Amino acid sequence: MDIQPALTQIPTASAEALEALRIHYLGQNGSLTAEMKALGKLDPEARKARGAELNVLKTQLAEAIAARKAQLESEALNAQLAQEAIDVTLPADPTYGGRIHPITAAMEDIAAALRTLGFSHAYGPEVETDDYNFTKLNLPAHHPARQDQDTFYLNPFAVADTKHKTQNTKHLLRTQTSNVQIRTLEAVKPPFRVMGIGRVYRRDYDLTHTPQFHQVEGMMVESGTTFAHMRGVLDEYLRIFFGKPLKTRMRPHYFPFTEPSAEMDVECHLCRGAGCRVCKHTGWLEILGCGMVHRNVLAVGGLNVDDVQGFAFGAGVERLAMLKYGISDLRLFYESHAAFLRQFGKAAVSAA
Amino acid sequence: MKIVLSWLENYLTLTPGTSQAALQQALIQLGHEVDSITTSGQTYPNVVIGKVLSREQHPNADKLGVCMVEVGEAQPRQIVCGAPNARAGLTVAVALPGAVLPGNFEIKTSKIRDVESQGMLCSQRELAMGDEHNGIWEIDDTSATPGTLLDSILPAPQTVLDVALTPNRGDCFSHLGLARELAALGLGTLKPLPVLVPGSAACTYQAATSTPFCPSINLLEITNIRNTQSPAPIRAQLLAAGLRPKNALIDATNYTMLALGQPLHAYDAAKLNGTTFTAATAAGGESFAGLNDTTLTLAEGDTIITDGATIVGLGGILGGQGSAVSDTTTDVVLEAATFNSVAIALSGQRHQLHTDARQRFERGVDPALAPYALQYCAQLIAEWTGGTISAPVQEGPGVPAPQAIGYNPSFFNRYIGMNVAPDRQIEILESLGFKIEQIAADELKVTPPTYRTYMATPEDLTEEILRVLGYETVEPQLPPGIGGQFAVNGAPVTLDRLARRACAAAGFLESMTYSFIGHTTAESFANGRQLLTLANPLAQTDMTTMRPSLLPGLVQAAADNFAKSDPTPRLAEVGKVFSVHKDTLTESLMAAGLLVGTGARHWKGNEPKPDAYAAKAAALHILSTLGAPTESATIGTEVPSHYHPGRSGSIAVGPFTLATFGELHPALRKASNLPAAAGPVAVFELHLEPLLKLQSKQRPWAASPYPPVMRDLAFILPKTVTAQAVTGAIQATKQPLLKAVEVFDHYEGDRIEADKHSLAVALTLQSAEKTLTEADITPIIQSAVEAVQTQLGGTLRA
Repeated sequence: MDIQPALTQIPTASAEALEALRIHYLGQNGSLTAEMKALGKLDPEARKARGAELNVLKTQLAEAIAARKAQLESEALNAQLAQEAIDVTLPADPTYGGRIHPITAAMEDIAAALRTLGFSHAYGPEVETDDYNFTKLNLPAHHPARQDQDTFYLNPFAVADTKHKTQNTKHLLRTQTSNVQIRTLEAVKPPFRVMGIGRVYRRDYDLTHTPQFHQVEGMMVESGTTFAHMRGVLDEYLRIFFGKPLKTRMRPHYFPFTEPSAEMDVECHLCRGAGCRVCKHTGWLEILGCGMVHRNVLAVGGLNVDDVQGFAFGAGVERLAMLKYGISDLRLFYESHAAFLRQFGKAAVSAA
Repeated sequence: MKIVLSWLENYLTLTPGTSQAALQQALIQLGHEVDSITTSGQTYPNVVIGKVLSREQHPNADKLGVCMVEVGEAQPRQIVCGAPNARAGLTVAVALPGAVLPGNFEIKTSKIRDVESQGMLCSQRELAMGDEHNGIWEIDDTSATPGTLLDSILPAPQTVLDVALTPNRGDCFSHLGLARELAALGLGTLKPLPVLVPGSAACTYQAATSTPFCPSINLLEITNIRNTQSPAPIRAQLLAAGLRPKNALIDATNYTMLALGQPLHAYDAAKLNGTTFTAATAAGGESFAGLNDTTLTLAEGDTIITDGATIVGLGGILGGQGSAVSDTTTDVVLEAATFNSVAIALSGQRHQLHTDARQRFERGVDPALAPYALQYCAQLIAEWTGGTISAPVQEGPGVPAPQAIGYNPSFFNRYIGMNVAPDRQIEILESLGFKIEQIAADELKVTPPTYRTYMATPEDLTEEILRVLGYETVEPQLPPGIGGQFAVNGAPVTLDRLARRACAAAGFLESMTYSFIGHTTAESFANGRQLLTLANPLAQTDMTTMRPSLLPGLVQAAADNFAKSDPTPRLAEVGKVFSVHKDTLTESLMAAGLLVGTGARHWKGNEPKPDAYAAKAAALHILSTLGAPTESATIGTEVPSHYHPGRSGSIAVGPFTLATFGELHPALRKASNLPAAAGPVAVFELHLEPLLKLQSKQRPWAASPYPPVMRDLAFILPKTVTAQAVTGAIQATKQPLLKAVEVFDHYEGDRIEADKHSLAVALTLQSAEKTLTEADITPIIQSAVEAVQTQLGGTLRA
C-alpha cells in the first residue's frame, strides 16, 4: 500500500480535504482500516510481519494529519485574533481619581512622625471659650500677647451667655491648638506625650494670611523632661517629617505659656542656607514655636513644677506643607481648584 | 522697634570691629528678631549743587524755560526746565548726565524741542525725598558750593535695625534697653548715663494721684522757651527711627521715649486751667478730646490726668487736644508718670487706641525711670529752646521694689538638661543687672532690676541664663523610653483622618473651604437650626456665619471650578459644622460630597448624570469603608430642607442617622453659580461621630461546603410600596435558610397599570448541612410570596 501521495498532500490540505483523506485511509471503511481488518485471515507469521508494516503506515498518516490539523487550527485562531484587534490608542475608560487634600496629607505626615516619637492624639473643639484659648494658658484678658492673635469672637448664642457674660466664658474660634494642652492637662496625669492637630482661626486676610489655617501642637510632660530633650525631640521630628536631616537653630522668643520660650528655624530648603528670596536672604525659615511648659499652665492640671516638667511646641501645618511639597501661595489651599487638588493632593493609598 | 545704630552708640561703646552681621546675630541670640537692617536716606551719585544764573523763555514751548546753571565747571550748563519756580538765584539740585534717579530714571544729554539740555533740575519727589513736586527743590542752604555733591549737604545715612520685640520685653522698647542687652552679651560696654542736675526754681504746679493705677507722677515746668526745630542730627535720628520730627518740644519727648523707654507728655502752660496735676480714675461718661482729633467718652477704670480743672490726658495713652503744645508755646509743663500695665491695656482696648505710650506702658515701663527721664527730657528742651527748668515735683506711693527670686543653680541642669557652673550662672545674671545674694551653696536670692517687670520664677532665670549662653549651646537629647502613654489613639482623630482617605478612595477630590460662610447661604442650609455668628467678622460678607453644613462650600467650590473651565465631577470635604440647639452649641464632625455632570465626552458614550442613587452609593461606600455596618442600614425619607424632597433619603443604622443623600433642592441648585448645563447636583452628608458608637459585629467564619440556590421573584405592586418594604417583608419571614434578598430589577411604564410598578428580587438560599432540594426550597419561596401578597398587596408577575 502506497501512502506517499497522501503524505505529500497533507501538509497543504484544506480542512475539508484533510478530513476526506482521513476518512479515505483511516475511517471505518477506509483502505488502511480494511487492510488491518484483513490481517486475521493471514497465518500468524505473515500476520505479524504485515501488522507491523501497517501500524507504521497508520502512525505516519495519523501524525501527519494531526500536525496539519493543529496548524490549521492555529491559523484559524490567528486570523480570528487579527479580526478582533482594536485601537488601543483610544482613550481609556474614565475613572474618578480621588485625592486627599495636601493639608490632610501634611497633617498625616506630621502625625506619623510624632507617633514614632511616642506622641498620641488628642482632640479639642474649634469653638472655644476665652478661658481655654487664653486665660488658662497664662494669658489674662489684658495680656499684650493677645494682640498678636487677632481673634474671631462669636455672638452670644445662649440666654445664659447674655445674662452673665464674663470674659472667661466668651466664645471664640480658637486661635491656636494650644487649647489641647489645657484639655489634656485637665484630663490626663503625666507622664504623657500628646499631639493635637487641627484647624485654627485668626482675623487676618491678605496675601500671606488666610483667616483659617491649621496647627500642630505637641506636649510632653514627664518627671525629667528637659530643654535638651525638647531640642532632641524637635530635631528628630523635623528630620522624620522632611525625610532628610536639616540644620535647625533655636532662638529665644516669648510665649506666655512657656518659660523659657524659643522659636525654631530650619535651614532654607531652597538655598541650603546661602540666602535667597524665599528665606528673605537669612538662610533660615521659621518653623515652630516651643518652650518649657509654664508653671501656671502646669498648675491647671494640678501639677507642680517641682514634680514634673515638660515642653510644648506648636507649628503651622500650611507652612510645613508649603515647604515639603513646594507650594508657593498659601491661599491656594482654600480655593478648591481641581487642578491644584489633583496635583498636590495625595492618593487614598500612599506611603506614610 | 527701629533702632538707629548711631543712637544706640550714645549708650554703648561697641567692641571695635563689631559687624552688622554680628550685631544681628547677637540680637537674634538674645531673642530679639531682626526683621531688617536698612540704611536710611539715599545717596545721589552725579547729583550736584547748582546755582541758577538765568532763565529765558524756551523758543518753541510756552511752558518750558532754558536755564543757565553754574555747577562748578568752566562753563555753566544749559538745562531745559518746566518748573514754574525756576528762576535766577536759586540754589538747586542738578542731576548731571549719568545720574540715575530713584525709579531707575537715567539722565542723559538730550534735545528738548530742539534745545539741548545738559542735565535736569530736580524736585524733591524726583529724588524720593518727599512728595513736593510743584516745582524744583529750592535748597535753603544758599552757601552750598556749586559743583559739590548733593550728598555733602544731606544728613549722613543712618543704619537702622528693625527689631521685632516680644510683648514681655517692655524694657527693650528703647535704645538704652537694647544697649543693655548687647552689653550683657559682651558686644560692648555701657556708657554711663549723664549725671543731671535738677533745676532750683520752684515749680508753679503741684502733682497728686488718687488712683492705684498711677502709683507715681512727676512733673516740672520750663519757662521762656522758643519752640523751634530740634537740631538736624536729632531730626535725622527721629526720622530714621520712624517718627516724623515736629517741633523741639514734641521731638524732645519722643526722643526721650525712644532713648530711655519712658513716655512723657508736654503741656502748654498757657492752655491750662489749673495748677494741680492729678492722676485719677475716670468716673465714666466724661468727654475727652484727644490729640488724635477724636473725642472719647471715657469709661470707668480709665486713668485720667487733670490740671485740677479739666481733663488734659488719658493717662499713659493719649494727651489732650486742649493743652497741646504748638510752635508758639513759651512755657511748658513736662510730665512723666508710672502706670499700671493691666489698666493701660484694658483702657487701650476699650478705646481702640494704639499709641507708642500705650505700647510701652502695657508691656511694662521701668517704674524707677520716670524722675530721671523727666530731667533728661527737660535738659534737651532747655538745650534746644532755651528756657529755665524748675525743680521737679514727685507724688504718689511708688511701686514696690522687685521681689527676690529664690534660686538653686542646680535647677538649671534639672530643667534645661545642661550643666552650667553656678559661678557662670551668677556672672550672667549680674551682667543682665540682677543682684545676687548667696544664702547657701545651693540657695541664691536673685533680685531683678526694676526694668525687668516680668521676672518672677526660677524658670524665668533659666531663660535669662540660656539666652546669654545661646540656645544653640544645648545638646539635643532624646528622652528615654519612647512609647505612647495613651491607651488608644483618639478615636475622633482617626475617624477624621480615615474619612478623608475614604472619600479619596471613592473617587472624590478632598477640598477645604472656609468654616464661615455668608449668612443668607447659611440660613438656606440651617434646616431650622439656630446659627452661630461671628461677633467681629472680616469685611467679606461671605465669611460671617459658622457653616451649618459642608455643602455650601462644596457647591461654591464646584461652581468656581466650572468658572475656571476645570469642572470636576466629585468633590468632598471633611470638617466641623456648627449650630445651636436649645442654647447649646453643637460642633460636629461631618463628611460631605458633591457629584455633578461635567459635560465630559467620551468615545464610548457620555458620562452618566449623577443622581440620588449615585450619591447613595458613594455614601454607603464611604460609610462601609469607615466600618459602619451598612448591611443592616435602613433607608428613610426624613431629610433636611436643602434636599429635593422627592429625591432624597437618609441612611440609618439602629437609632443613628449616618447619612442623608439626594439631589440638591432645585431652588438652591438654581441659586448656585453652577451653570444650568451641569444638570442636577447630587450630594450626600455623613454624620461621622455616631460611627464611634457603632461597631461591625465580629462574626465567625462560616463558609458552607454546599452550593447556594438562587430564585428570582417578580412582583407587581402599588407604587407606594417601596423596594425596602418588599425586601423587608421577605426577610421578616425569618426563614433560616434565606441568606439574602436583593432587588435586581425595577419597572414602571406602559406595560403595567399607571399606579403600579414592578420589582424583581433575587433570593439566595443556602444550608450549612446539605445540598438543598425542591422540598426544602418551595416552602421558603411560598412564604416569601405570601408575605408580599398579603402585607403589601403585590401579585406575582407571570
